[in-house]
Amino acid sequence: MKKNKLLFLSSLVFSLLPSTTSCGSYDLVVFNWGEYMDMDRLRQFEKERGVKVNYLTFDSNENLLAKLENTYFDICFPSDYAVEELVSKDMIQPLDYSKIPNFNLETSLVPSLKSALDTLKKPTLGKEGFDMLKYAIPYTWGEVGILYDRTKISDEEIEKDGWEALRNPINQDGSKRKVVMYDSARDIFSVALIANGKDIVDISSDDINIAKDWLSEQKKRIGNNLAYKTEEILDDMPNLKYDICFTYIGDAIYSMTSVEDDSGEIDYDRFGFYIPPMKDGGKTRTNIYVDAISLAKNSTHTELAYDFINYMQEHDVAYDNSLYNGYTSPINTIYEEITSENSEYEDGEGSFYPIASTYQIKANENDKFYRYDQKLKTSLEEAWIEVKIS
Amino acid sequence: MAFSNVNAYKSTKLRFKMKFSFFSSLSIPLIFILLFLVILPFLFILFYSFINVRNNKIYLTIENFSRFLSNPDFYKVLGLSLYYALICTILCIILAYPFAYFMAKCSPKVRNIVNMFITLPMWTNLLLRVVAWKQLLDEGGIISTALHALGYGKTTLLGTDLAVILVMVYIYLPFMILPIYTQLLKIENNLKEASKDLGASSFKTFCKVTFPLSIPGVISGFTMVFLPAATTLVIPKYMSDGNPKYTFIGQMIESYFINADNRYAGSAIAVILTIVIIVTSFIVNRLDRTNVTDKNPKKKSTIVVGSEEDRASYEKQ
Amino acid sequence: MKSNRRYHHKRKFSIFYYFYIPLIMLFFYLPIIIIIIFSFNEGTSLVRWTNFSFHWYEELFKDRIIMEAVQTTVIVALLATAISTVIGTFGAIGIATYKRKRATNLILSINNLPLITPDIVTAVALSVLFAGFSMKSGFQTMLLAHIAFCTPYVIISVYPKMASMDKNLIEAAMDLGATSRSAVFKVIIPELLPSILSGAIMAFTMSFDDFIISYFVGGNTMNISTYIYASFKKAKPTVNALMTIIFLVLMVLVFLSTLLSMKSKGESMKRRKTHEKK
Repeated sequence: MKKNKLLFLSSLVFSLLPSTTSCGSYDLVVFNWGEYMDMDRLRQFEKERGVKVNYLTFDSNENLLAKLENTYFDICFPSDYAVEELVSKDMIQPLDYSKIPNFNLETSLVPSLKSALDTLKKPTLGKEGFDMLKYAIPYTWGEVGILYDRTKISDEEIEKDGWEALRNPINQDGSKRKVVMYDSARDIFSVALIANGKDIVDISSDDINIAKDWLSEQKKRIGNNLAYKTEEILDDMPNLKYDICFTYIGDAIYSMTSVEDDSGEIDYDRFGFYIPPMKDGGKTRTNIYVDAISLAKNSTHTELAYDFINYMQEHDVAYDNSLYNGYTSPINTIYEEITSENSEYEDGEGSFYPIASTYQIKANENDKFYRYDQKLKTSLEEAWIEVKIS
Repeated sequence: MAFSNVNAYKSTKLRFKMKFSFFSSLSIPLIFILLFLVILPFLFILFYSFINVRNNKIYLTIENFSRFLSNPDFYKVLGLSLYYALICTILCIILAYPFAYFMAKCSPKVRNIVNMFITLPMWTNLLLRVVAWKQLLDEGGIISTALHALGYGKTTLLGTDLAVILVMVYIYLPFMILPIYTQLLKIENNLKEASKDLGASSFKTFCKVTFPLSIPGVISGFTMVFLPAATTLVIPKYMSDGNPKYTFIGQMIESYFINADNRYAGSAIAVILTIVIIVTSFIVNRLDRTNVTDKNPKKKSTIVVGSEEDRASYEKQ
Repeated sequence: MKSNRRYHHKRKFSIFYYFYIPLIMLFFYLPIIIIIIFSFNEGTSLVRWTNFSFHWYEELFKDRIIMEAVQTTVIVALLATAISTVIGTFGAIGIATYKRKRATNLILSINNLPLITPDIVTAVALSVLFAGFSMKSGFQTMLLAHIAFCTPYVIISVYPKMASMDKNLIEAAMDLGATSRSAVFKVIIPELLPSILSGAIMAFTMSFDDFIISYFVGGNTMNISTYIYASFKKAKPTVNALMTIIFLVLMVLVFLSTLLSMKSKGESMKRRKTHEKK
């Protein structure tokens, strides 16, 4: 009797389990970054098609990959190297562009992004090329640069010192410089490698040691005013907790457009953003990234998923999404519109123009994407903890 | 008659034997669990700490150990973890002892209620409590707002020794109160009465009788606070405000084991940590035995173990 | 005389007595109370009260991943508790009847191993074990790990009661013709029930709160703790709403179990008295 009860109980519990992983009563399961899509547009899609979208958010590519491995999904928005990892794990499928008429593979993208993606296709030192457009449509893109408080650090210093400004312990007004660095082995080491004129894809163990020393030295110089943080930086910068950090353009624009002066007005002049030129004889100018829309390999709602992807490419929808998330749009028409003199971005006509130069990414042939590389990840993580405890 | 009686007796005895072996067989699943999920993992960790893989080939090595033992930074991290845990433990003893003392003096009803109120926060999810403290100590939290009102400017208390130790004490204080309290309850009132009847003042009674006898409680509290505090992963992560100064041994294991996916190095740190802990427990045990003349020398190795048995008995209350 | 002296004794400490305990209680509860109150605040501030609202609770229930984590936590805790309570109870009965006491002691000290080693070492050990058997970390490994660390708690709760149980009771039952199985289910287990229950409660809370072991062995399966760790480096008020709910549920449970234990203590006293009379 008791045995039966126990069996019954366990079978009950196990029957509950699959329900947690299936999509339930939803028609489409979408994984996206937090605050990355205009929810009104999403609701419009649901209303027009008469469907229900389960919209889920994640906060890092690692997190996304972890979740996708044991959950059903139709569409996700991974970054470049995560697209590559998803392809290598056979979790997403090649896109059929005939089902996405709103997007033209040759003409829709911003030309400099298109050429960067073309470069990615070609094999480089010890690595095969990766044709990202085969599997994903760019949704936002950006590059790494330095975000700095212009009341503490002069434009001249940044232009003269470049990445080295992250290691200067004294501000121009004599106060101690407060520096925050992104606590992720991949990101922090790529900055250290770039600052030393190294490549961020083809990395030797000597390169890692050089980057390690660069970071340890920074830690020594800045001392207690150095912090390693993750997504909190997005709030800390506009709150003026730190004077300088390295960041992606989209996040920099968020800080620039949300920092207030004493009277509570947005102070567009407070922050500067700068991507230092490549070191002489260097191999990488900066890291470029793309967040892109991908379709799950075992999606059971492919038609609706394609419809959704196509909807995302509609001009007005893409424009609103771009306004909402503040990241640079990869769609050329929208990119041009937002950076034009009479752009309505932010506070009405023309208000955005002062920082449009930041928004306007001028991708360069030496801007490189990260690549998916498990072995490299291990050595970078080990080097990173060694820096942290040094 | 007598004969048959004896036979009957014998047969019950026989039946007994069988029955008792049936009873013993009930422990088979337990032995199974202990073998495969307790002993085997420890053998595995030991094994993993001595191997590494190169070109898909496993080989024996001591490099997992030597890479840490030859790195001065590793000792720094280890020392720092033990140092903060020690401060936390001492503060816990100072705060917990009076509390346990007065708690033991309460009426049984009040005692039960106080006990309940101590276990309640202890059982609330650790992560949730630490995140709560993070919000309270951060800029815009109640404490920094109060400081701001007093004219201290915008500050966050995160990233200071105060924050790290305060939260450690908050989390681990119950684990110090309960063993001391249980020990104090055990000390019979009569004993004290006896010493007082012999003319000792209550202060003297405390110094000569109560306190020495309560030492085992303090010791088991020590191990129950010190060990988790030294190996904590969550508290420094949330309280450090990004300051790498608060990188403790727990985070090192996390970095190697989870972030870098290097099980061999991670296992080696865990083995080193285990050795450090065994040594610490041994020293603390010795401390106990030199302080109080042990009335039960049989209990040699049970003090650390006993502490956990005690822990169970408080937690179930 | 005696009571007089006691009275005197108490008074000397009264200042402490009335202030120190409440003070420490305040230390324990003030943060929790603030968080609970402000989880009903419309805004995100923990200082400025704007408006009463259930906004953060709505957000919490809308977040499917948190709800999944809650579900995982509850299912793992229930299964681990059920399994470890059964194994632990039978195990305690079994080892208490060993003829060689050394074997009993050996098993008890192995049983204590996971209790005295820091969680992080246990976590690494279990994770390495599962990797060694190339088990993919996930729900199953998490459940196995939870059974591994919950069972010892059941043992240390049940074994002392079993060891001190009057063996004559069992003998008497068997003399009256009870089979060994019915002796276990009709005599021993009812007698052990309070300690089995408290062992089960302990196992449940240990499993429900566990972070570090789940983090190391759970892989992509997340429980509440690992989800918060992975996703809330920056605290959001939804976490406070979750804390409020968990705390209130726990309060009811702890209150009930305290009531239960007080009652069972009273009953066992009564039973013992009637037993003695007989």
